[in-house]
Amino acid sequence: MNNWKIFSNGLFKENPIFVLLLGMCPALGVTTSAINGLGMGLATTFVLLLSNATISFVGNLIPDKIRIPGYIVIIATVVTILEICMAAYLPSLHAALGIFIPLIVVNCIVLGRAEAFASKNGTLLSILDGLGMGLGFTLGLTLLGCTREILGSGKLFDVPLYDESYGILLFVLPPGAFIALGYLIALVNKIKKTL
Amino acid sequence: MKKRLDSNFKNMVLASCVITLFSALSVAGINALTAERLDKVRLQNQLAAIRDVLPPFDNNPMEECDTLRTANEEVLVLFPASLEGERVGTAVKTFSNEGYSGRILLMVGFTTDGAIYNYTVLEHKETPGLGSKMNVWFAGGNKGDVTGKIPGSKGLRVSKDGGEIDAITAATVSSRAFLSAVNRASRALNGNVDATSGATGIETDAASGATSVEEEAASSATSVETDATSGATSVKTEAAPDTTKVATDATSGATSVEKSLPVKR
Repeated sequence: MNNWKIFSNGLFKENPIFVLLLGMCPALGVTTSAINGLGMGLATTFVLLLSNATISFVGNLIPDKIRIPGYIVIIATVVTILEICMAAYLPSLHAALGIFIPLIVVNCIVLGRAEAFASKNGTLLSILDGLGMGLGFTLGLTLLGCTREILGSGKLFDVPLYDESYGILLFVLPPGAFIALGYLIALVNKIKKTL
Repeated sequence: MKKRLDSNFKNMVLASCVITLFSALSVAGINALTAERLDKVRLQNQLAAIRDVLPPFDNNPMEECDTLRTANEEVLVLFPASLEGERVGTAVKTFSNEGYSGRILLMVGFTTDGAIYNYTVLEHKETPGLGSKMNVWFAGGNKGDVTGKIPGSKGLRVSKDGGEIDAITAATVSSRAFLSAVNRASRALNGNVDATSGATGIETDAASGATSVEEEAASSATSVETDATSGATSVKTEAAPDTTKVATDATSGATSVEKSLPVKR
């Protein structure tokens, strides 16, 4: 049951978006639509999974004093591989996410999990942690993306819900991201209290 | 807590080298594996964009494309399209740096009379919900419809600047940038991109003493011919691959033609 605990930790109890508030740059930047949020979340999950696995595997071969640069190189490699593959096989998603893909390298959630979890735990547990955190991140981004897409452009996953001209433009723009995120966090806190 | 390697100098150098070596190798490997596929995707995207903006054609415009350079080395590409051997129009990959936030890349299709057939936005960083509407706003049947219009020498302008095109609501800057890119494409079609112009081919026949410069940019064609008997001809070619200087000296007068050669791709 310990494995499930580690996996679900990232999903709910320490959700990167709603609880840890890590990785806010892509969270606010790409979530103009639900599909972008989902794509970004899955890309980050992939990076977290691979970087956590690699770092837990080779972690104790890296001397303490250079561990952060070492982790960054590993993470950057994983992200570059992801970006090349995405450009080749999912060009439209790659175009939509643009600069945010290379920016996964500096996403604090990735380095955070490498430092706080993967460097101290075994490979299997680190993979579970990466998967849980990644999916939690995906969940957060998708929820934020849905909220902004519904309010801002009257659509959900590109399916029109109402006439676009009634959409609140603010929610597509950056300030709307902050507002939507704030209310979502409040909502999550409220739900957590009642549980 | 697992035990780590000692942080002495030797270990640190060794570990850094091993990590960077492995990452370099894996990125290089993936790059080599996907290179072919990436090229294909790029070509497909370009062809799809050309198809979007022109009437049906059956040639491969990418094989016959022309590259024009502006004064500051920016590139415009002309893609001539034809159906059963007859020219149906030209797609122009054009740009503008006057956007609200950064560069705008467009593919604009012109029919043979210089009228806009259609366009597609290849790349932009305009504000979502405002300037980003340019991908539909100027399309046929919409408010800022540019299709069927002939930019000509005057160029298209937004109504605020005395033109006839309705700008995107609350995004005049983006609209101006869009039209400047379209106008640039139209000028390129007529053979002049800012300071330099393009030529499809320069044929030099030194043996017979005749120099002919052929310029063909979509609709306009110019031909300069100098007869050897009337005077001496000297042809100078600079080493730069894309710049050829043809200087023709004839007794009747001095002619100097400077051309920026297109790079065929």
